[in-house]
Amino acid sequence: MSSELYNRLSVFRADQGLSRRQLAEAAGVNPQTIGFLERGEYAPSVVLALRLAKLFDVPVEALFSLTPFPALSDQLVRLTRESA
Amino acid sequence: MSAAARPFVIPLSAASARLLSFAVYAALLLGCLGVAVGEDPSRAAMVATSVLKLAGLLGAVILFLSGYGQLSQRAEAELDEREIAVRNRAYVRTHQIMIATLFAGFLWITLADRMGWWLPGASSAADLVTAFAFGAMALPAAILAWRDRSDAAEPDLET
Repeated sequence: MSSELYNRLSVFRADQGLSRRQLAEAAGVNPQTIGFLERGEYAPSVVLALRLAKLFDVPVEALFSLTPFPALSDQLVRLTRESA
Repeated sequence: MSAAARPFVIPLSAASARLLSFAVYAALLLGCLGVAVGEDPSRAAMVATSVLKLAGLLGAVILFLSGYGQLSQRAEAELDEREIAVRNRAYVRTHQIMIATLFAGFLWITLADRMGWWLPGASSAADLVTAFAFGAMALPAAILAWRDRSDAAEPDLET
């Protein structure tokens, strides 16, 4: 089983218009840690993952996944087709 | 690492700390072993190795007082979970290196005594122990500096 953890941290951060430093301060970590998380070079503890999900007000599985997330453009196309 | 907020921290970039750590261990090795293993060293060689030895010891202290050295000494409450994990790995590697060095030393002493190889005199042995102590002191900081890729990966934290 792959131990890789995928995340959408940078997408949510950009969507909220937050810098890495601002998100780090809100999450109580070093700004460099946000960079490591976004690049998938560090897998957070359950506590940190839940804290980040709470900051963005989303379920933790919307932010982190054991399988790669589908591209946002693909999801948008599918949603558009479904609603048409 | 907020070096500016802490007293007695020598600010060093990752690249500078890496360069310094390389220079420290090269200087300690050459300074302590250079004269010790040489047959009847000249006065110039003795002066050169003494300078190297002192430079190595001073460099080890600077490395220890750098942000990387301070990271290795800070309370867990001041670090986030990634920094604690990185520091723990550095300490594990330090322990492995120091144990391997000690065992290599003991092996050499055991074999050298029976095979008639070079063995340090009292003065050289004191130099080697000093180099080992200062090297061990600076090693966690050196490992943290070599593993820190934030210089290249984090060009701007404000974006």
